[in-house]
Amino acid sequence: MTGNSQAPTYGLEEEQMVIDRGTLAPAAPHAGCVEELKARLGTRFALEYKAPVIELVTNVHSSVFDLTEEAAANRYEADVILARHGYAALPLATHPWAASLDMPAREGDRYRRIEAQKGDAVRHLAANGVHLHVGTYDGDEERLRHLPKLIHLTAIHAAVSASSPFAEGRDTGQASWRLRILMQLASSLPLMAAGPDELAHVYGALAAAGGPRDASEQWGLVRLGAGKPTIEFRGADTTPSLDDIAWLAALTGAAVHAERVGMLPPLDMSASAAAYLYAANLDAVAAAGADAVLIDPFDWEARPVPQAIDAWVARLAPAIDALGLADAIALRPQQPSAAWKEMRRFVVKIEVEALGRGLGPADARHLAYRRMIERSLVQSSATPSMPWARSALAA
Amino acid sequence: MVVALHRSIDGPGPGWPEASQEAASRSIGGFAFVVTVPHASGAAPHWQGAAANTAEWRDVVAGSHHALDRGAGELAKDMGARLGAPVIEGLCSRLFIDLNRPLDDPSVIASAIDGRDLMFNRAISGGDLASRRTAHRHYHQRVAGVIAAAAQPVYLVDQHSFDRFGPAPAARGVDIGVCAPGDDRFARTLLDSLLKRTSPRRAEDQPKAAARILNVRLNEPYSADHPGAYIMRRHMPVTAGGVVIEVCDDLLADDADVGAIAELLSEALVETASAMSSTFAAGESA
Repeated sequence: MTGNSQAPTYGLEEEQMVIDRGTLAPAAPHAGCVEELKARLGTRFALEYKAPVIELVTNVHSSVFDLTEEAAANRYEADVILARHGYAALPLATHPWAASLDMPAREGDRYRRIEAQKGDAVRHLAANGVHLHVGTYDGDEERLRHLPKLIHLTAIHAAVSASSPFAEGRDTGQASWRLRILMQLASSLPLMAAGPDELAHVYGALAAAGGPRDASEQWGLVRLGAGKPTIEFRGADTTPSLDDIAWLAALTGAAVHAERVGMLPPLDMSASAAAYLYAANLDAVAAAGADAVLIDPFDWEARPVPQAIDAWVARLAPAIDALGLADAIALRPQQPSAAWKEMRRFVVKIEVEALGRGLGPADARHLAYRRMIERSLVQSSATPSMPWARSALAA
Repeated sequence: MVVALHRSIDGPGPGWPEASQEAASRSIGGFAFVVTVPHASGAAPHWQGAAANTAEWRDVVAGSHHALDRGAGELAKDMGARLGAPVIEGLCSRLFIDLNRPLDDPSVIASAIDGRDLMFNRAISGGDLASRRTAHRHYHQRVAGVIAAAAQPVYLVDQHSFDRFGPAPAARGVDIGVCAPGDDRFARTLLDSLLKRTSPRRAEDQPKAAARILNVRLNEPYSADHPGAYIMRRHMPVTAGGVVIEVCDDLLADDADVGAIAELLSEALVETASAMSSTFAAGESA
């Protein structure tokens, strides 16, 4: 084995859309509410580009269980404060009927500059994700060297969490509309420069040309943590349940560790082919979530997502063992969540019932969306199930 | 959009307003103090509006010695000012989460007090439980961060108060108790320093803070191996030494008495740390 064998650390950022508790429509929280969130949550709270969107940030953890627990605490505490002001936090990656183009954006030169670059593509960005940071203790050079293999975990993140089939008042036909939006916005492939010098050179050239100034403006689905010694996985949708976070973080931490210590096998294809497959896998996931079939860049096998995850777990077994992550990995369900399909079934059921009661099509669909939002709020407040914490208390 | 996510895992945790005196510790003769007071608050946590409005909480529990160490926060802040020490206060009642227990200890969230069930602890939602446990982690991250940031060797003072009667019908004879789990050299040296500065009282007499007529004892009212010494067990190993100080809360009822006790303890703590540091220096050079 080579390299630093220090165990990775974990941090999580989650975007959530604030909605009015009565209308369930997006609502920018008023100044008093924002002040209370800041006062109570401190650096665990931030505002996002779209005015109704907030970000909840965890501290850095060495345990994926502690990470999940703080993410749940963030949701819970934010929700309590929001409720006092008549709001709720929507645990969905997209709002089902809001017109994202018309959704107000926050003030700020940085936002105006990005809007000038991206136009309506960025104005569509009322889509909420979960960003997992895995800390590596490495410099840019080492982390850049790890990226070509690690980027392929992004499809797993996106597939497991895909839960945004509805947007703009319609069924988008996609499992993750958020992922589709992000793929329109920027190259989903990160800049995998040969080293820090080339990285700086490329960003310098882009900035001079009016493009992204640094990693924080490279809105890909995986990247070096902007200003942090991490690799940031940005593929996952915000979901009603946090139960997948612990095992997904563990799998990702094991992959990062395996690559750092030389335990991850080489890719069995050219860099160009691997980059193409990365994008193709994401494309499949945007459409079909955990029902997608992924091409494994390590062995060329086409596998449905559950088997693709099995292959990662088998590949990472020594790292999972070395890091003591088996308990977290064991939380992985036999069948990954198909939240997007469940949402679609639920909406259709409510809609049909409403039509049967004589509601018009538009009203029936709106009612179904409302019920879906209400259900997601209940799911969020009951999460995570935290068997580890409850068993400790019951001991 | 991202706020300094990747701090050290042992660094100060976000999420709580910083305590008023939680600044860098000040060197006093080559060493510094950090004061923890985990049971300073009798408040419900900010996300517990409903529990705080119940009659059970309002009329039975809040303000009792079960909910907080009465007067310990004021005493710790006074001592912090005298010692130039950061004071790290717990910001909610120990009945919601006890910062002085390990997270995996069943008593970290009390199910009952004096045989009476605490209904707000009987059915805890997942989010509430996560918030309580996260608050526990944040507190200890803050303590670890403040200790790590000190430029000099740190002596850790974990400040508490106790009820004169506790669970027994007879009044406790101790007024100030010192103890430390594990390495108790600092506690024993502090005990000597306090005994030198105080006069014991007879059982039938009242303690007098200003006159320093006080019973100071080792490992009372709690022994050093009491399960509630988690602050010390967790953080003392990275310090030069530490002590749990227990003060009877009837001595902390007004500002004058708080000031008198703070003055007494601060004098003794500085003397103790000076003596311990000299021993250290001698030992290192030997």
